[in-house]
Amino acid sequence: MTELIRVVLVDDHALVRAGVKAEIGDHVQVVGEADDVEGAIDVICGLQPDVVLLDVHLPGGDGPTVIEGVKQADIDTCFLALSVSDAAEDVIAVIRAGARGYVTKAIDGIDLVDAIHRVAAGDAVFSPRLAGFVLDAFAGQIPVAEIDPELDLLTNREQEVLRLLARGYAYKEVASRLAISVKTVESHASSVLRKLQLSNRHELSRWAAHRRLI
Amino acid sequence: MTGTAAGIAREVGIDPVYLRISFVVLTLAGGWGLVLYLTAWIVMSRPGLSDEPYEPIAKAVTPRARVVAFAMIATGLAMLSSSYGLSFLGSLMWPSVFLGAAFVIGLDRSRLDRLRPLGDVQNRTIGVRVALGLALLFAGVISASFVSLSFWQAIGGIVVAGLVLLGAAVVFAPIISTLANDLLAERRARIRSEERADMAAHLHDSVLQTLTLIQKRSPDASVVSLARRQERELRTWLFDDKSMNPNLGFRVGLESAMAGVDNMCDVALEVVVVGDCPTDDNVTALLQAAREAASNAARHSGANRIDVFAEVGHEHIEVFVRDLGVGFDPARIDGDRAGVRDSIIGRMERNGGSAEVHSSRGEGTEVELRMPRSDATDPDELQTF
Repeated sequence: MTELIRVVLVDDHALVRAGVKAEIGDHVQVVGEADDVEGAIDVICGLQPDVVLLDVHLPGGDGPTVIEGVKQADIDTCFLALSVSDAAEDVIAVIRAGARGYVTKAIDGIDLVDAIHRVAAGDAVFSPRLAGFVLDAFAGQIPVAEIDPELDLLTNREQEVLRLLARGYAYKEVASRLAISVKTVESHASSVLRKLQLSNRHELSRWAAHRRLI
Repeated sequence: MTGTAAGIAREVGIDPVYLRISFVVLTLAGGWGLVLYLTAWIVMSRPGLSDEPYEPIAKAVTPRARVVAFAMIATGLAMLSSSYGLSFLGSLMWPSVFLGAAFVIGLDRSRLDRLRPLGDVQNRTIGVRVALGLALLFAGVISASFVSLSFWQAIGGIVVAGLVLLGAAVVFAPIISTLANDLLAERRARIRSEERADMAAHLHDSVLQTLTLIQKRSPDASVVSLARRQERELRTWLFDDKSMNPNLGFRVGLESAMAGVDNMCDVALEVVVVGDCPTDDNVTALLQAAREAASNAARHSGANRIDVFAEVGHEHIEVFVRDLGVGFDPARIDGDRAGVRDSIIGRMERNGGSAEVHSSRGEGTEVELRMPRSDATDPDELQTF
């Protein structure tokens, strides 16, 4: 690897930022930090990092607000949600806004660095918890009313992959269990994310049309 | 009813309710009220009048004086008609007057509607109104009794009327007080849950973050396990609305069972649950088997993390307990792992479920538990059984 991945940390707790920085600082380049929504948007737009580690809850808004703000500024960066939050709705909301994955803060340094690399490469990062949340969301257990039942059904294969991820299987283990390649597992995971986010955009355009905005 | 009373009241400058009372009184006192009302209605409802709001000409007399004057005129007419024998109702005049007044006061919707948004004022007015109405009703009943009956019969009638009123009070009092109590309890519960949400948000942002950090940064294993336990307890308390409910569902049951294992063994358990269902005997057996599987993994595998995944499907509930520890040879299960056979496989099979253990040395272990749902209600599912 010629160049270290450039990372921005967004978390309202200086202690947490310091802790995360100490854990990943040797493997990625932490170029900036922010502790609220406005500061985060400014820092991200100014530095244009490869990956943003984003807390789900922030003062002055929350994770999705940051992602929307950065999108409006037309900055291309990847978001990885990092939180202690257990509330499924909040996590799904960040994913739907465009984050490429969700890991809990209990993740250890090596796994976090690995997740950052995967997100930077355009892959999806599914912790078991996120896989569970997504299964719940598509089963209608989490009130994400915007999910369009016609458009967004998961295929059987995608459900199988998600279930194995929720059981704690790594991508490699999922691949060997289902007798498919790791690349295929990755593409299934990405397609699940895309379905979550697509339904979001679909809903958004309907919302906008309804209010005569477009 | 036709706006006649309101129209006259507007012109004269008094409240329409007095006019309505007088019309009723005059009607009952000799039928003249009805005649007057109909005449006024015909006169006032001429077509071709403009829709512009009618502004009455200012009068010199105060409203109070007008009311008194009006009342005097009405009473005078009533007495006149009765004393000259023009009444249709004869001796029943006074009872009718009282009853009619009670109805007018009780049924005057326009006033009630106007008073509704006023909160306390409204309640007080309604109280006065009800008391007044009841007093008039009572007076009506009493006077009716005296008109046609002897003194003792009248007293009997009064007692009967009193008993009827008392009976009604006894019947309706509990209903009214229950309604009031429910309202109060609901308001209290709402305030409490709002407070809880505030506190949860605050604790989440401060204490939980710190506890997580302690778990990651502390070199002392006992401190780490303490922090983890505290975090789990706090999290359960914060995010679980059902924690107040003694009949917990499957999800809460599994999470608390796993928290128990976590506290006992100091291994990180990643618990993921999809779906939920109510607890019954089979579900309880499943929870016990899952707990046994997790505590086996925690005690014997040597892994530092155990993944527990449960999914409540339409037809059955599945639980997977997986570790990446030392593993064992399932063929030797009879020898040194009696717990697996009795507590997990045996318990599942006795309750109509099944259990599979996949393990090999050095590869970790995965226990799969499957329990059919006894509460499946979907017609599609019933056909498959």
